[in-house]
Amino acid sequence: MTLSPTIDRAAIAPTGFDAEPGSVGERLAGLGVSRRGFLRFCTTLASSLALEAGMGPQLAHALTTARPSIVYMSFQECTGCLESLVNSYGVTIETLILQAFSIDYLETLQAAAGARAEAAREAAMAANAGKYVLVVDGSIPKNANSGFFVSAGESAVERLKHAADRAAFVVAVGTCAAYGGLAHARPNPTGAVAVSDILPNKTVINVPGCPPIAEVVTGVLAYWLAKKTLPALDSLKRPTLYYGHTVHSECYREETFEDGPRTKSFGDARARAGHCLFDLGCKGPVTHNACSTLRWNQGTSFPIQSGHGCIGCAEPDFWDMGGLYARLPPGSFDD
Amino acid sequence: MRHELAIGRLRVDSAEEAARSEQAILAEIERLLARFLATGEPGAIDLRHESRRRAGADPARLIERLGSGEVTATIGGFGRVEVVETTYAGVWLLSYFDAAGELETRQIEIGAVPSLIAAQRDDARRGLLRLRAELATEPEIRPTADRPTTTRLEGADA
Amino acid sequence: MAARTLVIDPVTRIEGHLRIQADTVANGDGSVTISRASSSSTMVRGIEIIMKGRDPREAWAFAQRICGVCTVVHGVTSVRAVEDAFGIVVPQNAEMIRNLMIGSQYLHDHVMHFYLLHALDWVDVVAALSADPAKTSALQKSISSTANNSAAYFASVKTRLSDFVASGQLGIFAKGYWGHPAYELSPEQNLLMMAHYFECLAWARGIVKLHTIFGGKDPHPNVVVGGMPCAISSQGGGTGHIETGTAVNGTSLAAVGKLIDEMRRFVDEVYLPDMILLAQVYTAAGKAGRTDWSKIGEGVGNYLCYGEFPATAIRDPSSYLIPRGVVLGRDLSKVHPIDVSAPGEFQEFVAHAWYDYKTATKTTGLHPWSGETSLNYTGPAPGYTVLPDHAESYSWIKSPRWKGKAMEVGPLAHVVVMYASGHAATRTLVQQAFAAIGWPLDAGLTRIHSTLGRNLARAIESKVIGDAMVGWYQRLLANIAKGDVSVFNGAKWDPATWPAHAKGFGFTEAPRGALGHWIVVDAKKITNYQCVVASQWNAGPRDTAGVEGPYEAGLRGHRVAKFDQPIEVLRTIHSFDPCIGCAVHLTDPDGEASVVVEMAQL
Repeated sequence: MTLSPTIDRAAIAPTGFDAEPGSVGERLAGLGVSRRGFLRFCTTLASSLALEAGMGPQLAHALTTARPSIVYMSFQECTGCLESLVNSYGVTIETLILQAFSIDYLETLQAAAGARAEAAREAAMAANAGKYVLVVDGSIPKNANSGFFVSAGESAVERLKHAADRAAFVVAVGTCAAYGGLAHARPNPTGAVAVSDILPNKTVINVPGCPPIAEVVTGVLAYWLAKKTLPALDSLKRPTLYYGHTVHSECYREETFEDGPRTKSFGDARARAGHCLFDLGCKGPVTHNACSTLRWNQGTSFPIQSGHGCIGCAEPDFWDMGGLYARLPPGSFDD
Repeated sequence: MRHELAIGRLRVDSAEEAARSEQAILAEIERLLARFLATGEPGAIDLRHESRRRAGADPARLIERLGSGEVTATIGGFGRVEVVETTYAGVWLLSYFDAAGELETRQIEIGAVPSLIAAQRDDARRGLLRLRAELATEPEIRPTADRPTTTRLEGADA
Repeated sequence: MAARTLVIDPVTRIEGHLRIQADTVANGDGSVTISRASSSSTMVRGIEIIMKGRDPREAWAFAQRICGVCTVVHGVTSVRAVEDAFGIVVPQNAEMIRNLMIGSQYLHDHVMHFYLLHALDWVDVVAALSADPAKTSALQKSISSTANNSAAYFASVKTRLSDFVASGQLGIFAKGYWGHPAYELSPEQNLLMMAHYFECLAWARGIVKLHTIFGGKDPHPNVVVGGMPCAISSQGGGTGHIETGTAVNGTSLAAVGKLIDEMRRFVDEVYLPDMILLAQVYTAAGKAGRTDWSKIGEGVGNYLCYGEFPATAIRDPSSYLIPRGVVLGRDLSKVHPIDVSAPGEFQEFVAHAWYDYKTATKTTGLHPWSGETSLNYTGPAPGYTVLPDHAESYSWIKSPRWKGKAMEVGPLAHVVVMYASGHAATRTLVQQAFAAIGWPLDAGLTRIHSTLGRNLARAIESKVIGDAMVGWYQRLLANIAKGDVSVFNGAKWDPATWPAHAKGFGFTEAPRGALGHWIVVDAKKITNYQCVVASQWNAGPRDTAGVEGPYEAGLRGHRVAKFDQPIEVLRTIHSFDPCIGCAVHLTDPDGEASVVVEMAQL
C-alpha cells in the first residue's frame, strides 16, 4: 500500500480549529485550544457580560470571522467612558482592539496623530461603508460655529454627521452622548445636546452612565457581534438587558428602605450595618442601571455598597434631579 | 425630568422572593424541556444572573432539588467544567471553574447532551489528520501474497 | 528657504482635545526645525458656570467629571475646598483612605500613560515582529525579576502581534510612523515593551478595585465633604454579593493590601526597569550622532508644587510627602515658599486665550478669585487649516503664572522639589537611575530637565508613592484595630451650621501636577467656583509678555525629520502627559462683575 509520504507532522496542530486570521478564535486555536475549549471560553465570556444563556455558540462563530470595524469618536467628554471600557473583564479592551473588532479610530490610543490619524479614519469608514459601528462619547455643542468644539479644523456637529453617515448604527456611550450629560446641565452654557439630537434619522443605541459599567459597554458590543442585531431597547433607547430594572429593585439594602431604620449620617452605626441610604439622597428608585446586580469592576462593589447613595448617573438630566443629597419626593416612583 | 417612573416590585419578604425565583427557574426548565421534546431545540439558563440578584434563588437549594442522575462528566482544558445530569433526564447542570479553581458560572442546559460534551467536527478532523500522520510513519506490516497490495483510504471531507 | 506651518490636530494619545501648531524652518535635507510653537485647546464645556447656584456639598461630583482619567483628584480637591471654607477637619482614617486613592491613581495613571499613551512614540510595533523571543527572554531576565520572562511567552506575544498585522486590519496601529528613523530600539526591546503594553491593561483593571472598594466604582469613585462615605462594616459586608454591611471589612481591607502589593510589583518589576532601558537607548543614540533625548524637551526650568499626601492632616504642610514649594531656573539649592493665599503670587492671563476680562483689560493677569471672565471666541470659523496664533488668541486655556513666571507642574516638578528638599528615597532613586542610564550627576540634575527626564521622574515618583502607600495602609489598619472606625465628620453637614458667607481653597498634587479649586459660598449656595488645573500650567498659551508655556517652550528647536510624521513633537508633548479636559473647564458668558475675595489662609 502506498500513502502520501509528504505529510508534515509539524504542520498539523494536534488541536485547534479553523478561524480567520486575526480573530479571537484563530488566536486561541494557535495556542492549542480545541474548538470545545473555545466554546467553553465563549460561554463564560457571555455569562460574565450578563448576556442570554445559550449565546456562547453565536459569540464563538462571530469571534472566528473577520472583525467588524469600530470608529470611536469623542466630543465634549471627560474620557471616563473610555477609561471604564478599558477596565472591562470578559471581552477585554485587548480583545476588542486585537481580536473581536477592528478599532479603526480611537484618539486616545491611536498610534498616528493629526492628518494621518484622520486619513486612517477616512480610509476605514470608506472600506467599511455601511458596516462599521460608530461609538461616540461626549455631548455635542449644537451650534457648529460657536467654536466650543473644533478638532482637525471641523466642528463637532460636522464631525459627527460625517462619521455617522455611513455607519451601520451608532452607540452613544455615557450619559453625555446619550442625553447631554454634564455639559447639558443647567444652564448649558455651550448649547450641548445628545448624539441622537444631532442624528434624528440614524439608529442610535444609548448606553448611559457616568460612566457606564464596563461590561455593559462591551456586553452591548458582544451582543451585536454575536447576533448581528441590537438588543431590545426601551423608549429611551437603552438596552433593557442592562437597564430594564432600577438600582433600587435589586439593592441589598432594600429591606431597611421599607422597614427602617435608615441611615441618617455617613459613618453612623446604621451606615456601618449597611442600612438604606434613601434619606441621604439615594436616587436608586428612579435610576435604571445594572449597578446592584453586575456591580462595578468585575462585580467588586457599587456606590451604595461603598456607602454613598446612587446619584442617578444613568438617567437623563440627573445633574438637575433636585440635588445629590436631597431625598426623592413622594410620588416620584412606585414601590 | 425626562426619566421614566421606575416600576418597582411590591416588597415582600426576601425568603419568599427567593422561593419565587426558584419556582420561576423550575418553570422555565419545564418550558424548555417540553419544547425540547416537541421540537428538538435545546435550551439554557444562566444561574449566574440569579446569583447577582438581591433575592435570587439560592443556588445550593436549587441544585439539591434538581439532584444528581445517571451521568457525571468532567471536561478538562483551561479550567474544568463539571457536568451532572440531574434526576430529570435531559436537564443538565454545568459548573465552570477558572484556571485557579474558582467557580466562574453555573448553567443549566436542556437537551440530549450538553453542547460541550459533544465532540466538535473541527476537533475530530484534527484528530483524523493526526492519526493519519502517525500511521504514515509507522513501519508497514507487509501483506502476504494473497492480500491486496494497495489500499485506498477514504479522503476526509474538506 | 520656505517656511511651512506644522499642524497636529488632533493630537492623539492624550486626554482631551489639543492642537499643536508650529512655525518651522527648512534645513535643506527634507527635515525642518521648529522655530516657534503654539499649544491650543479647542473644546470647552463650562463646568464652573454649571456649578453656580448649587449646594457646595455636591461640587465634588461635578468637578470630578472635569476628567475621567484624572479621576478622584478633582473630587478630593473640591471637598478640600469646601472643608476649608467651613473649617471641617476630616478623620484620620479619611485622610489615609484619600491618600491611598490618590496614590493608586498615580500608579494607575503613570503606568497607563507610559504604555498606552506614550510608548508608541518610542516603540516600533512593526519592528517588534522580527524579534527573537529567546533573545527577548534573555533581555528581560537581565533587567528585571518579573515572572513573565520565558522565550515561549515572548513568542506568544510576537505571534499575537503578527497575526494582527497579517489580518490587514491594523486598527489603532494603522498609518503609524513605523520604520521612522527616530525609532532606536532593537526588535527585542520593541517586543519586550509591547508585551508590557498588553500586560498593563490586565494589571490596571485589577488594581482599580482599590477605588471600587472605598469609592464604589471606578472611574469616578465617590467622596464626601467631611471625609469618606465608605463606612466600615460592623457586620458582614465585603466585596461581591453581600446581604449586610458595607464593602469595607476585614477581608476587603486585606484585599486592599494585596492590591497595593500588586501595584508596587508592576512598578518595580516592569515599569521602572523599562523606563531605565528606554532612557539608556535614547540617550546613547546621541553618541551615535542622532538625538539625545535627555538633552532636549525642557519646559521652562521652573517648577511648582502645592504639596500632597499628608501623614497627619491636610492642614499640616510639614507632614506632606510631596512638599510645597517652587524651584526656579533649575536651581535645586533653593526651594522657594508659596503663599497660596497671596493674590500677587498667582495670576491667570487671557492675552492669547478666547476670553475677555470686563473689569480689567485683556492683557491683565487676574488672580483666580477675581476670575470674572467672559467667553470670546475670536478664532476662525470651523473649516480652517491654520489657526492665527501670533498676535491673536488661540486657545480655550488660560495662562497661569506664579509671580509672573511660567511654571512646569507634574512628576518632574514633584521629583525636583522632593530632591531639592532632601527627600532621601527620592535622592537615592534619582542617583541610582542617573548612574544606570549614564547621565552625569550634578547639583542641578541637568539631564532631568528634558523629555526623557520628565518620563524618568514619572517612574521614580511611582515607586516613591507606591512604597509610601504601605505606611498609610498600615496606619489605617492600626487605627481600626484600636477601635477608631470613624471616616466622616458630620458636624458641618447640615447647611444650618454654615456661615452666611464663606470661601475656601482646596488643592491636590494630581499625577499631572498642581491642582487648585477656589470656592465662594453665599446663602448656602456656590456663588463662584474657579479651577486652576495642572495642564493649564503646562499647556497654556503665551501670556501678555509673550512668555511661552512649557509645551511651547519645550518644542522650540526640535528637529522634525519627516514633516508628515512629526514623531519628535509627539515625544515631547506626550512626555507632559496632557490632560486637556482638565485644562479647559470653564466659561462665564455673562460677564458679570465678580466679587474680589481674599483666599483663605491655610
